[in-house]
Parts: sequence; structure tokens; C-alpha cells
Amino acid sequence: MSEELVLDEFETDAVGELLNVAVSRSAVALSRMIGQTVAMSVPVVRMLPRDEALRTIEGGRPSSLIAVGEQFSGPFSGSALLVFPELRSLRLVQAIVGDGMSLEDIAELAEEAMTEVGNIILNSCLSGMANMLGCRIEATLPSCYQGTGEQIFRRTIRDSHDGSILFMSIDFSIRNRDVGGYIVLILDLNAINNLREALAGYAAGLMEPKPGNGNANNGGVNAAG
Amino acid sequence: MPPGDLGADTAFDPAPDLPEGPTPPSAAVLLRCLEGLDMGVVIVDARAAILYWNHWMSRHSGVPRRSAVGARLEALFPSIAQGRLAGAVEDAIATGLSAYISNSVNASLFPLLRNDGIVDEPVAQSIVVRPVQVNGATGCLIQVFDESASVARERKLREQRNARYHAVIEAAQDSFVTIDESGIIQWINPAAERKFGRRLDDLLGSHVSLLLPAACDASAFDGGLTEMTLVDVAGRAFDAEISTSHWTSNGVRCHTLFIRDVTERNQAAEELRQSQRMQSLGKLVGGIAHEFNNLLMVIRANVELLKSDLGDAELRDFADEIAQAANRGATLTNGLLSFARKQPLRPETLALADVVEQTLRLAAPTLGALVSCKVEQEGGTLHVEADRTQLQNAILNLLFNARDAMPLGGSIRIVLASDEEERFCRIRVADTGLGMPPDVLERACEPFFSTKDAGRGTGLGLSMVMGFVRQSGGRFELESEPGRGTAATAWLPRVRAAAAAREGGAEEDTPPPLPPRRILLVEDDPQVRSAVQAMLGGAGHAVTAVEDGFEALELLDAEGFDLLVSDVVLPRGMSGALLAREARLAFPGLPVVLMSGYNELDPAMTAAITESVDILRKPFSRPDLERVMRAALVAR
Repeated sequence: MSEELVLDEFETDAVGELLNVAVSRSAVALSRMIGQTVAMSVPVVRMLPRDEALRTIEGGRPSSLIAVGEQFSGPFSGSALLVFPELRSLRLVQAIVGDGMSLEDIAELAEEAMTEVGNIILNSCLSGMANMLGCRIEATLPSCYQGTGEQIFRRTIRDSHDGSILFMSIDFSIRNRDVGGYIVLILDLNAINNLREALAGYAAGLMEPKPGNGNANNGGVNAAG
Repeated sequence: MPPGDLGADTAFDPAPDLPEGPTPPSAAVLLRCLEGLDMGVVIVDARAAILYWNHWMSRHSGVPRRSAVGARLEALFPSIAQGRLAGAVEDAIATGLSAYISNSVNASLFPLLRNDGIVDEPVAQSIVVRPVQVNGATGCLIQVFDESASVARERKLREQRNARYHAVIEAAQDSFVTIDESGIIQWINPAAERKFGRRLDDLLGSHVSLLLPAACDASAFDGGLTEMTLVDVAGRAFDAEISTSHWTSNGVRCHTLFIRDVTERNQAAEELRQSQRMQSLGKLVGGIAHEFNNLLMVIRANVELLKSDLGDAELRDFADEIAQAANRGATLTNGLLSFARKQPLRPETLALADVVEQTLRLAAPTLGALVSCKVEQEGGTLHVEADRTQLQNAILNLLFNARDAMPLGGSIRIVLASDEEERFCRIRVADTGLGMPPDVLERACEPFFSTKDAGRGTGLGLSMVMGFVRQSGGRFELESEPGRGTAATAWLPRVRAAAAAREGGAEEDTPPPLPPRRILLVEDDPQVRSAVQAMLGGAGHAVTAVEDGFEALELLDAEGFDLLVSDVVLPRGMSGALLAREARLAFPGLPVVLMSGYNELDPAMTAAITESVDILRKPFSRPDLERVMRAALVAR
């Protein structure tokens, strides 16, 4: 049973590619919002157990983090978190609103801005998943959490969670500033199974050349975008 | 179940159960409530066309419901296409995602106006977009919240919170700069804007090294008080004292730097240090000169006694050599004293041209070959009333200043003249040197002001000249222009030719010796005491010598004396000045002569006694002593 909860290497790579396309899409949305070029990438995707995900997020010592979370439901359910160290989240917000504001003033609107940035990024990831799965994902409004990784996980992941955690780092580049954070997808059991099925279908689609389209390898990107 | 066409059956149930009761409100009631809401409600269908547009939206957008219903949002408000709202609506309809869009980071939301009849300000809005089932398909519910009041409230709270802080910080004369831990400038106060000539808006986000080149990062300011040299808006370097406070806000460690310009303070401290050094040097020099003058006194007095007893001309020449050496020693101590400004003035009538000529002879070797010097005298022979040594020193000072102003050589022109009313003699020393700019000229006579390299000048030259001239009842002026040289002019009280001639004549004739007198001599130094006693005794006077003032007062009381001759510095707490005053109180009219190694008298006491006491400067010769005694005795 347990090995079924883990995506294999090919599946993880496929999800990584999918999410890279998704965050690129949110980069476009963010760029349009702030009128500046925003670049984003998801270099690594891993399946991690809860404790290891927690350790990675905290970077070796408990520090103050900011997370934006959304719950999603439907054939594919679970929750999604975008996590930044608090200090870096201020940098991110400053990069978004520009240097014309002092850090003090930025701190006052940081939660609001972070919520919105998280909303944009997480929605991109979720809609990418939904597109690939060919289903609808209903998502709640984003909520903002602050605290240590442990505190945030306790509020967003059920103790009885028996699903898997899809864990990825995300790198931003705005106004020549680089900001690094993490995206955490906590998938329920049904989500993993559905994801595997969808990935199998996606892989099969890659194998069969589509009629009238010789460049079949682009199929993944098209499907995601 | 939701009534009417707003029926929704979303999977995660964003619509809570409607209140259960005997009579659930009708669709008409609910619709009226929607119309009455103090927020915007828009419902779009699966094709993103507007299905419902409530009254609040009509009122604030200016678009009536009949125009809105059926239209697409981007058609009504083209600006929306730029922002996030359009995409959020698309996501909600196509995928089922919700979105929160805040006023703080989005510019292109609904173009809404407050429309409250007072001001037409834009509405600060935040928007929530949710999927909603409409007529069997997924549409979208858009809720628009008016955040204007809370935005205004927050701003007001922030202003109130910051008011006192800013009142202090913005009125401060010191520069305040706040940086984060990587050294990025977060804020500067108006004083800093003025000091560095940079505006806050331009500096936000810049690195602090832009203002403080020596500061690599914030760690430079962890050590409390730091001093560094900075450059202000005018490009002038100044000494900055920087104290730092750090604080943490929202997990970010910030530093506030308090930058104080301490250039003037440092200068004042340096000047004070310099002046204290000169003061203690002056005391030291005064003490040495005093001891020295006593020794010279003994030498000179004894040489004179020796000479009067020597028949052999060759031996007399030897004695003269000793006397000359003692005189040179006296000149040396005078120089030291004038440096320490403890020189009591001994005004005498002087032929100005002679003094200038002697001084030039003295100065010639030091002026150097590149500097030529010419003296012009207007009118006849001029006499002044002044201290010879001090006058020489003053002229020397002016000559050396002129030389230093002409490093490449030049000429010095000395003009001696009388003013029109013949009350003053004018000595003008003009050079062809570099001259001084107005700011230097203004300070040139201040003590310790010097443009010369450290070690080359004391900064006392001109201040001494001015002090001497004023003390002699004259005045001193400087004129200068850069590139056109400097002229220094001293006016000294002129003595009429007749008086000068009489005085000169009197000096030439040897006055008849004084008749024998009973003299009380008070001197603590045994060698000086016996030397002076021998001098007086040799002139035929009856001398009684004692060591201190108390003894002297007792003797004055017991025996009668014609004259009191006392040293200024006496032991056991009674100075010569005090003794003179006490003696005068007991014996009004008693002639008193004080002998002084240097000006030990404090100014208040000097003022009290100078008019009735004659001062004799050590070392003195027998004629000096005779002259002063005569003056003292004649005056009574």
C-alpha cells in the first residue's frame, strides 16, 4: 500500500515539468500585476514525508515563517502551501511594491500582499494540475499563517494525514532580487491515485504521435498552459 | 437551499446553510437585501457576462444596472483587462478557483468613486472572486469591499503613532539614517537630506556607503560610538560622530545611525588643548626666567662691584665681558618672558628710527637673501613712548610674517610717519607676498590662529603684537588682499620732540648722586640680597636687609626708613605687593621700589599698586637702581 503513495521518478519529473509551466504562468500574472518582469522556477520536486518536509522548510532551525494556504477539493483534494521565511517574505513584498516604501510600511501590508501573491501562485499550480487531470478543482480563498514550520503544519495538515507531501522549492527573481521559498502540496489519498492515473494517461499521450502534429514532445507544455 | 437563480451546489459549500425557521425569507426579500448591501456584488455567468449588478456598484461606478447586465466586465471597464481581476474571473469559471485581490498591491481594480457628495475620491477596494453555480453552470461571484475607511483609519493611526517620533526626528539638527542589516537605506530625516543634499526618495533602496563610504555593511555600526570623516553637500569634509541603535521589526534587524557633525567641537577641543599647553608652558617659562633673573642679578651686581674696585684696565675688560654675558642672558630671559606674555612693560622714550634700524640688524640674517628691506621716514625724528624690547619683538614678528608670506622672495617696505594731529607715530610694514583671503584676515590676530605648518609658528605672533600695541595705548591694523600682499600698521603714542630731548638730555648727563638714605631691603634670595645691599651700600646709603615681609613690617615700625626696596616674590605668604600696601597703610607716603624677576603680580593687585610703586626689573644695574630710587623719592 505504502509504495502506491509514492510517485516514481518519471511521475515526479512529469509533475515537476507541469508545475514549472504553472509557475511560469503565475510569473506572467505577477509581472502584469506589478509592471515588472518576474521570473520564477521550480528547480526540484520531491516526495517527502511530513517530518522531512518540516525540517527542510525550517532550514535546520526553527524560525519565523509566513505561509499562504488554500484547501482544494473535488476529484483531487488536499491543501497547498506557499512558504517563505518571514524575512524573505518582506523582501518579496518589497520587490513587488518597489523600493519606494520603507520596510516598516511594507510590514503593514505584508500579510495582505503575501496572501495575494500566494493566491496567484497556488492557483496557477492548481489549475495546471486540473488541466492535466482534466477535472475541476474547487479551491478556497487563501489564508495567511505565521509562525514556525511546526505551528504552520499543525494548522494546515491534519494529524491523521495519510497522504503524501509533494515538496518543491521555488525561486523568484524580481527587480534583480532573488527570493527563495517552498511550495508544499499535501495530497489526499484519492489525489495521489488520480494523479498517477492522469500521469499514466499523460505518458501514453506522449508515446502516441498526435495526428497533424509532428512535435509531440511539446504536448505536456500545451496541456499545462 | 438557495432560492431562485442564485442556486448553488458547489462541492466545498462556500454558501452556508440558510437560516432555518418557520418562514425562510423569500427570493424577493433576499434580492432587496442584496440591493441594500454596503458592498459591491456582481454575478457573472459561465460566459463571463454580467448577470447581476447591485445598487452599490451602480452608485459607485456610475454604470446603471441596465447597461451592466449582459455586458462583459472588460467591455465596461477596459482598464480591468490590465489587472488581475479578469484572470481571476476566468480561473473561477474554468477551474473553480477563488481569488483575493487587495487594494495594497493592485492598481487596476474597478474604477469606483466614493460619490458621497463631499469628495470624489476613488474607493480603496479589495475584491473576492469565487466560483458559483449559476443556472446549472459555473459562474462567478465578485464581492467588492470598500476599504476606504479602514485605509484612512490606518493612515491616521500610523500618523498619530509616528507624530511624536517624527516631531523629534524631523526637528533634530543631527542626521538620522535607518538601514537594514545589509546596509540598504530605509529612511533618512530632513537634517540628513540637507546635510548630504540627497532626497529620501532618491536614497531609498540605496546602500549606505553612498553616504558613508567607509561603511561596508551594518556590522560596521555594532560597536557603539564611531567616528569617521564624511563629505557634506558642499563637498566639505566633516568629522562625524556616529552612534547607533538597533531594533528588530517583523524579523528584520534595522540600525538607526545618529550622525553628528563634531568638526567644530573637535576644533574647539584642539584649541583648548593648545591653549592649555601654552598656559602651562608659560608658567614653566616664567618660573625659569624668575630664577634666571635672580642669578643674572647676582652676577651683574657683583661684576659692577668688582669693576669699581679694579684698577687694572685688562681685568676691567674681563669684568666687562662678564657683564656683557649677563646682559645677553637677560635678553634671553626677556625673550622667554615675551613668549609667555608675562613681560611687564617698561615704557621709555625711544627714537623710532633707531629701534627699527637695530631690529633690522638683528633680523637681517633670518630674513634671507631673497627678501629686501627698505625703511622710509616721513617728516623729522619720531619718538614714541614704549617698551624697547617689546617694540623690537613686535617689529621682528611683523618682519618674519612678511618673510613667510614671500616664500619666493620679495621686498618689505617699512614706513615711519606721524599722524596729522601728531599724537601717534605710525609704523607700517608692507610686504609683496601672497596676501590673505578675507576669512583668514579676519582671524589673523586671534591667539593660536596660524596658517603656518605645525611647528613653524605658535600662532601667537600677531596676537602678541596687537596685545603690546594696545597695552602701550596704541592700535593695530592689518590690511591684506590675496595676491597683493599684506600691510601691518601699528600706531604708538608719540612723544613731543621737546620732551624727548629733555629726557634724552637727562640720560646723557650723569645725575648727581642721591644723598645717603636709610633703606630697608627685603629679599629672600641671600645672593641677590647681598648683591643689592652692596650696590646700595656702595652708593653711601644705610641699608638694613631682611628676608621676608613680616620682619620688614616689624622693622619699619621700630625704626624709621626713607625708602623700602623689596622683591615681589617673598616667602611666608606675604608678597612684595602686599608688603608695599601694608607699609603704605602704616606709613603713608613711604617711597617703595619693587624688584621683579618677571610679572608675578596678579592683574588685580597690579592695578591697585602700580600708580604708587616703582617697578625695577631684574637684572638691573646700579644706574637703573639709582634712577628708579630717584623717581620714587622725588614723587613723594
